Amino acid sequence: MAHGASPTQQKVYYVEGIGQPTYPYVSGLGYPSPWGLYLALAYKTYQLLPISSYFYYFLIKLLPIAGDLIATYIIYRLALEYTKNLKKAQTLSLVFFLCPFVIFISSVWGMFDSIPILFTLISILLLLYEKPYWSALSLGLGILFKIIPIIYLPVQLLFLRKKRGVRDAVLYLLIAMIVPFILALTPIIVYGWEISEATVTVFSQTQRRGGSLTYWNIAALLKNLFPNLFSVEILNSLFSFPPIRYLWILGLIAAYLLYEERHTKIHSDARVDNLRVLLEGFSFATIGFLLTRPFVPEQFVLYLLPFLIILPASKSLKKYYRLTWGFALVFALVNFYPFAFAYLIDIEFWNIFNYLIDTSPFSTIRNVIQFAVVIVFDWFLVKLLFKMRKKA
Amino acid sequence: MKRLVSILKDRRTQYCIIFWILLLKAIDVVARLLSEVASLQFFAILGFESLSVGSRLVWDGLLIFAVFWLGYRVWNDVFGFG
Repeated sequence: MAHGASPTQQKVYYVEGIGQPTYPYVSGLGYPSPWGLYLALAYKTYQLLPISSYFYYFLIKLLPIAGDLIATYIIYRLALEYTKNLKKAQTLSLVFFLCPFVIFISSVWGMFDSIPILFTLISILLLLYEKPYWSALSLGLGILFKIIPIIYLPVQLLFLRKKRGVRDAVLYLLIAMIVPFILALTPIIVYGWEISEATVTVFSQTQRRGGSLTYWNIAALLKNLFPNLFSVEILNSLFSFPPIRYLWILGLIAAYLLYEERHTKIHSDARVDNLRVLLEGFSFATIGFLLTRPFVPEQFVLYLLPFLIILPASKSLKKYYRLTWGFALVFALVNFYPFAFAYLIDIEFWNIFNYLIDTSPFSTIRNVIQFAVVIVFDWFLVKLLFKMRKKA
Repeated sequence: MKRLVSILKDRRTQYCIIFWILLLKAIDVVARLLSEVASLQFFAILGFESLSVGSRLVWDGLLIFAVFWLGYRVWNDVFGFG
C-alpha cells in the first residue's frame, strides 16, 4: 500500500526483513481501507527511519495501544456516570487496561479492534450527553475501521426512537451509514483502486468457514479426525448453507428483541438508567453475535469486555468478566502457541509452530483442547445472557 | 431441552425465525439483481448462487416451509382460527 497498491489485492508480497518469510505473499486485508492506510503510513515512517524492523512492528502496534489507552479513559468516564464513585471508576477502567487479554490482542498480536471499540464507547458517551449526531459520527468512524460496530446501530436507534423520536433515529442512521461509506470510498477513488476487488474482500467476511472461538470449530476437529468423511468440499457446502452462514442475523434479531422488551420497561430520564439500558443492549447484541457467527476470531471478545466491566453491580456478574477474557486468552494461546509470535526473533519458531499445527498427534490435541475451551466459553456466554436477562 | 421447546413454542420466536428465513431470501434476490449490473457483479458473493444441489433442495424446502408456517401463524393470530 505504501507503494500505491490496493489493500485488498489478492497477493501482498513479502518485503525483505519484515514479516513472515515462510510465505511468498499474504492475502489482502478484509477491512475497509483506514487500517491499511495506517500500515502504509507506518511503513513510510519506517523507511524514513529504518532503525530496525522492530521499529516498524512498534509503529503497527502503536495505534491499537493508543486505542486501548483512550478506551480506558472513556470506560473511566462511563463508569463514573454509572457508579458515581471516582475510586471505583478508576479501578474499573484499570481493570480493562491491565487485562491480560486486552494486552495480548493489542500489544502482542497487534490487532486494532481497540479502535472501533473506542469509537463505539465514545458514541455511547455522546448519546448519554444528548449529542446524538456526534454519537452517530463516532459510531460511523468505528464502522469505518471494522464493520463489526454496525451490530450496535439498531441498539442506538431503538434507544433514540424511544427518547427523542423517529426523526432523530432516522438522522442518526443516515449519519452513521453515510460517513463510513464516503470515507471508505474516498481513498478508493483517490488512489484508483479496483472497487469490485475491494468490496469482494470485505464482503467475503460474511462467508468465512466456521472456526476459531465458536462451537463451529468442531468442523476443524472432525476434519482432523476423519479427513475422508469431512472433506474441505463437504465443510464448504455446510458453511455456505444460508441458515448457517447467516445464523448471526437471527442471533442479532433475538438480541434486539430482548433489548426492546427491556427498554419498554424503563421510563426514567436519569443518565445512569439510560446508560444501563444501552450497556445491556450492547451486551445482548455482542453475546448474540458471538454465539451465532460461524467464524469468531478471538479479538471479537474484546467488544464485550467494556460492557461487562461497567455493567455488573453484583459480584456474580463480575465472575463472568474474568471467565470471558480468561477462556478467550486460553483459546488464543492454544490457537497460536505462546511462541508463535517469536518468529520475529527467530524464524525457526515459526517453523516449529507450523509443524505443530500440521502434524498429528499435536494437531489433534490442539483441536480437541480448542473445541473443549470453546464449549465452556459458549456455555458461560449462554449462562451470562440468561443471568443478565433475569437481573435486567 | 424443555426451555428450548418452550422458547420455540413462543409466538414471537416463531415470527422471528420466519422473518429471518424470508430476510435471507431477500438478501439472495437483491444480491442477484445487483450483480446483474456489470460494475456491481461483486454483490453476487452475498447471494446463494453457489449452493450445491443438495443444499439448494434443502434451502428451497425450508423457504417453502417458512411461507406455509407464516400463513399458518397469520391465520391463527389475525383471524383466530386453527
